[in-house]
Amino acid sequence: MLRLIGGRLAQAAITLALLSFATFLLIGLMPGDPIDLAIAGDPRLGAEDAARLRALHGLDQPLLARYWAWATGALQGQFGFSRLFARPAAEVLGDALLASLALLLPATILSAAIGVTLGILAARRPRSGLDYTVNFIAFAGVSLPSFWLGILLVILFAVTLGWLPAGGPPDAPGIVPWLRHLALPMATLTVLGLASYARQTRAAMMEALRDPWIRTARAKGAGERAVVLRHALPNAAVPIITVAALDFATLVSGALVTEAVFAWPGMGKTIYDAILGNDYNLALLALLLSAAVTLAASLAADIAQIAIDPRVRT
Amino acid sequence: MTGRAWQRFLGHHAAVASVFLLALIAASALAAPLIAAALGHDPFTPDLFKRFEAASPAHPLGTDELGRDLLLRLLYGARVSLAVGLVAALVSAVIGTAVGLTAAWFGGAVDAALMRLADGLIALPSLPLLIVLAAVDPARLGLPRGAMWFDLARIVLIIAVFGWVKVARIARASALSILRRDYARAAVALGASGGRVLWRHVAPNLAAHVTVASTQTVGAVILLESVLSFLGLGIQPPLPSWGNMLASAQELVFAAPMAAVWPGMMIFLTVVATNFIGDGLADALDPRADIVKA
Repeated sequence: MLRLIGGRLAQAAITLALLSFATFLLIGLMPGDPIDLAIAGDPRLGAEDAARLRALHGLDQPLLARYWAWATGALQGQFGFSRLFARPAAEVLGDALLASLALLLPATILSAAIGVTLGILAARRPRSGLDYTVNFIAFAGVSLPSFWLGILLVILFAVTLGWLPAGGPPDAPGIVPWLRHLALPMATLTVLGLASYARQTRAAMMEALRDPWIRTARAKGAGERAVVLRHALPNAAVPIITVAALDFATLVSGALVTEAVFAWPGMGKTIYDAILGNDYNLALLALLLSAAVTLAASLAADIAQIAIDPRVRT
Repeated sequence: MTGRAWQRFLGHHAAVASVFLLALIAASALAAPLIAAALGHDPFTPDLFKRFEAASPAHPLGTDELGRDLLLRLLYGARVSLAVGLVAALVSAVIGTAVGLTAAWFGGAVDAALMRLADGLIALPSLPLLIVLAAVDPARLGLPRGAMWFDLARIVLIIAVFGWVKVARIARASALSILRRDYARAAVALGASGGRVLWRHVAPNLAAHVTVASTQTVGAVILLESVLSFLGLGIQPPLPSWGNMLASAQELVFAAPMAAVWPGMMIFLTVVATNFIGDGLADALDPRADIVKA
């Protein structure tokens, strides 16, 4: 098991290293550099000043040399400064990551809880009205543009009913304003995530309920509750967890759009602002961090699988 | 498709209804200039005296923030969104099939490298990377900046960067099983070149699986295009796409909520329809389907 985790960690490290290199090259292809922006912002800067600033920041070096400088710094925990926020990039991202996790974690837990419950209910009575409803929800969930769902919720709860704010970070300290601002983006992400949980749980449970030991359990006189929860669900858990891990990447992407719709100051919005604002230190680190979070989630899913299913252990 | 497959497809009512819905959307998108002529205006000329008009015979869905007809913009947006969705799915399918066949044929290190690349791409959150790709300046690659065809070509390529993975996996898995069958081995033994074996014996047998997989990606691709355009990184206004129409509608959601409902509805319906068709094709082309149902 330790070898498996070690192998996965090494794979994740290689992925992140390759990703950082690819992203660095791509960012080098983005229009303008910070010095161009400085010149545009201050008419007194001449061509000489620009050259001096470029040399000072190492921007006159070839791209590969710049990547090497960034990578050696990054390995020592130096990720450079954010141009937009005038703070160390790592510091800016710390806040953004917390804001994103505040959105992602409850949304993941809620969508898993609701989705798995719906899936179990649907699998117990195939072809019932409930089954068709769950199927429809699952189908609609994968076809809904996340930003449209967000806008629809805004139209309903902010424009028509006026119950909740249309977006933005919490405007006052305390738990109530915070929850009020979190409610709509969280609901958006939950609906998006719930669909695939319901779909996969339904499929996995239908399969598990056909297993021979289910008939044995029923024959022994086990109650329906025990049959479903104790005998079928653990056997259905492995495929559900696999899908959950794969979907986490989708959820992180979905969070990015949702944060953009609701102006929530998380990773997604930071990545977006950083890329459009040519803040390459911040953009690069934010991309790597969001990839690292996704890879960590998939590793966690692997470990959970081993814990649940002894057959996976080698 | 064989007669039986057709029958199975026709038995999937949601898929059949979806074909009609998509045909309707595509036909009205193609006929958009005719509809524009019939209504007597075009979707590009702003008319600031007619902003946010309610639905009327002249403007069946009302007008947007610049007084342009919403229905016409939706239909012109459909042309862009559908074209990008279809072309991007097609490009992804071609790349995916080529990669899958290459991996299956050469095996060994080539296979391992290609599949690790696919694993890596699947494990990563795609949207942040797509945003970086979309922000790349064409001028730095020696390409013209701001050309409309370039915008379209770029978004197709960007989507294909991530879109090929699913098709590649399916193509590789089926190619591996086909290459083990006797007819493929016989072709190899008779001295047929690799290209001939893959093209004459493997590719035709892959077609069904690849078709299903790529139909299922069309919906995801249309969603992706709308997300990128929504974020301002895809199709640029004044060329309407459903994504960028939603972006401008969101800013005015308090003034004109309905302007935000329609484009999203079009995306939703189109994606649901392609997903249903993908489902129906998967059922129809699965040779075991009859046995399972019997």
